[in-house]
Amino acid sequence: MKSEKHINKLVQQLHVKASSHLDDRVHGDIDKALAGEQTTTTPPTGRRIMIGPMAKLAVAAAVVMAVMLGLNVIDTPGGSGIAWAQIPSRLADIDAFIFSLTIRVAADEATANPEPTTAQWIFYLSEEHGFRMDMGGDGKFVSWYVAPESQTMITVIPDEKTWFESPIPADQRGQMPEEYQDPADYVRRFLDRPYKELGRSVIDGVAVEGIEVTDPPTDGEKLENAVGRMWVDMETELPVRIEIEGKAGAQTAQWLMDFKWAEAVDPAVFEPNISAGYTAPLQ
Amino acid sequence: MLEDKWLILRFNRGEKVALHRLYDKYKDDLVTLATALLLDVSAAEDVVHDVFVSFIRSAGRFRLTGSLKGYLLTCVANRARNHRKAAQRRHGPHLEEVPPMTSGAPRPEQAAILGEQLDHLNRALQQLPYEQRETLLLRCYGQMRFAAIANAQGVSINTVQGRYRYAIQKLRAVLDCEADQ
Repeated sequence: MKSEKHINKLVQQLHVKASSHLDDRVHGDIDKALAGEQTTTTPPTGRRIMIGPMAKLAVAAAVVMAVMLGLNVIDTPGGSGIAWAQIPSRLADIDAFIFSLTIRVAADEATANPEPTTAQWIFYLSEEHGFRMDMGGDGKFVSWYVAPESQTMITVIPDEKTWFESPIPADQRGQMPEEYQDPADYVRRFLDRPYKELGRSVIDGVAVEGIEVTDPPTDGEKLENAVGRMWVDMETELPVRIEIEGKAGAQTAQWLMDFKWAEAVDPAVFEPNISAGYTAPLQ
Repeated sequence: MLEDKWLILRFNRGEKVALHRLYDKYKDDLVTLATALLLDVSAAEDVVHDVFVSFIRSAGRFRLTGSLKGYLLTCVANRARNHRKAAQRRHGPHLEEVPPMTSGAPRPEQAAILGEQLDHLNRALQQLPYEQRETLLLRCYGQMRFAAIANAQGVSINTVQGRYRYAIQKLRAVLDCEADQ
């Protein structure tokens, strides 16, 4: 008798590919509807209102992401120079870090929109100095700053020379968005994957040692034939880089996460970078 | 997913590339759901097209409060339901007697054939009442919570859970029966 789990799995395997005819219709409609709006310099009010809650979600997501990565326990077989099992306790003693996440998606040339898309997030977290997140792509960044114990958040948009401060609703402080509620599950799923040792390498002049897991968790993204690699500084035994690669349909996705820990984090980065001439239109 | 939040931010700023990317990212999932609901590939693509046309119009004021994929799947389910009702008004109540999605599709790339088991599943899905099929697909394929499905369908959670239970039972019976043959 087929179990519910089996049926569930079967349903998830259903796949109907969108036709090239539909691709043409939708891409054409997008081009037509958004023609001439590519370089908006004066944002509509609605957009500013929208940024607040989204930034809050992003802040919470970033914190969870940091927790997930901080809790990442990997047991490797004997012979490795790294005490993998000790990494979590080592990270628990650290009170500041920066990590950047870059996602690059490149489509096959045969698809309607073959241009690669690159997005980058840089997360800064310090128990003493607070939180900052930069989100960007194509050379443009938006930054959010939250000081410790603060009930407000500062948003800076350098591209538009604007900044504003918005309150964080009481019921959302410290809460995680729905899709990021279970970091423990992420860790568990990551550790379920088979792995192999990659040996030693050098990243930005730092001697590292790595492991590789197959089908790493990708936070809701469907990636086929995905591979995840984690590289650890051989001297500090702290993660330096995580790389994930996989296929999403006709597209190739690459995730790159780079880390800096503790004293490598300059406290000045938590000060809102509001240059002279920036305006605060909503205040 | 952080990438979605960033793409929505750029979409609201009128950047076309973000919307192209969002469409490419979720188009197959949306077409699959619509096809499994309507059992008609052409109608399914019309539904997905309509969903994106509406989505494009929300540029500058779209607010994402949960999963973007869940939002788009719900939009597809709502439009598919409306499409089916309209078709029923035009053609009478025997709409379920439409060609199955694994046959009659003129374009080979649209076929949803992933082996014999899935072929069985397609046939089994056709035997479910529409509401049960929708509930099962949103739950299993869309990975949506019962509460979210109840909200989308405008019924209670108990009703949704009941529909899901009946759908699983019926699918199990049909699939077991086919496996025995």
